[in-house]
Amino acid sequence: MSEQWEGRLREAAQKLTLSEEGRERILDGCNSRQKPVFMTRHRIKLAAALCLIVVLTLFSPGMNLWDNKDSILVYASTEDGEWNRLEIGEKQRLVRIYEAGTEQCVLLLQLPGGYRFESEGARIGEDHMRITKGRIYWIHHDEDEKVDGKASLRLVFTDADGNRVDTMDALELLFSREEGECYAELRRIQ
Amino acid sequence: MSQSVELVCITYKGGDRVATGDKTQLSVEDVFAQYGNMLYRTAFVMMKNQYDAEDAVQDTLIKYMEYRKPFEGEEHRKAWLLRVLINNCKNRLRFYRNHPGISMEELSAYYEKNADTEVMEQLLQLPRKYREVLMLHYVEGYQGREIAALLKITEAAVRKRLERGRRQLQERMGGGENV
Repeated sequence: MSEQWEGRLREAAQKLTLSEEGRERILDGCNSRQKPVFMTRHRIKLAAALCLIVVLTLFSPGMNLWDNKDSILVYASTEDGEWNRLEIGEKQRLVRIYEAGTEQCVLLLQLPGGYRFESEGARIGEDHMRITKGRIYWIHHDEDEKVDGKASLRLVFTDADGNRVDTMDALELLFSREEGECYAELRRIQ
Repeated sequence: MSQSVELVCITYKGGDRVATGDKTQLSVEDVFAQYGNMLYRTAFVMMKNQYDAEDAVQDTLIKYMEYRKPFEGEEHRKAWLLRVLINNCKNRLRFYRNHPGISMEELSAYYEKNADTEVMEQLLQLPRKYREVLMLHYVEGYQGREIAALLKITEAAVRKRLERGRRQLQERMGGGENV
């Protein structure tokens, strides 16, 4: 490659210079975009801080926003007097408690406004369910441990006239006795 | 050219005085005045049109404004600017592959002599990988090792591209050594 050729290329390339308009356009662009970039950084920091506050609020002790009043919530009593939440689709073994001379399993029920039981009575053998003010008492009379069976309560949404509204979630609380053990299962009605 | 200089950063380490070198902070206007044309012609040869080249230069300067780390010296700054510009051009070419290149009429606006127009026109006809190494070597004066670092390729690849680029340009210009 000759010196002449290289020189021509170099000379030609060095004539590629920015026009005055081009220079102004570039500098104007830089100056106008400098501020938004600065502001964007601060906005990102602000957004991150807000997210952190929201997360901390949701998970802070005493602020259990997940258990909102719009959900059907069912809890089963435990041996130590606490409550275990029943998740939809979960089958949970119930603990028998002796109280006032009877053996029973107790469930706590929280229904949002508009929800009702479709049937307020269920039996398995001699056992029966009693529902009072958001509690379900499964009272055991049947001493025969071999008696297995199922019973269910439907939790449905009804309008002011008492008609069932199918567009709202409906759940079924299924009780079962299997080999002497008592189970409760909360499941969605298809 | 106004130049604000943060001269020598001296730190003390274990009782010894350690000079970490000059670290200059040039404003974007100064950088543009000093390197604007170099960035523009490199972008122009890569993008093959004025407006995309100007946009690539502008994006490079914005990156410079956002860049917070100090440069080791002018060569470091220049190489950083070129690398950012080349990456920017590559990204643009990836997304705007069908953008029309410059026409002969537009190109001749830069030149008075036809010979200059011809050599540039032929350079712009080469594949991008040859154009960029020819520009960096013959126009900006970078050596193989430096070009390899700028383009993140091996020195052998740089040599090969230079060789092929030279040969293709020769052929386009009518062959022979004394093109």
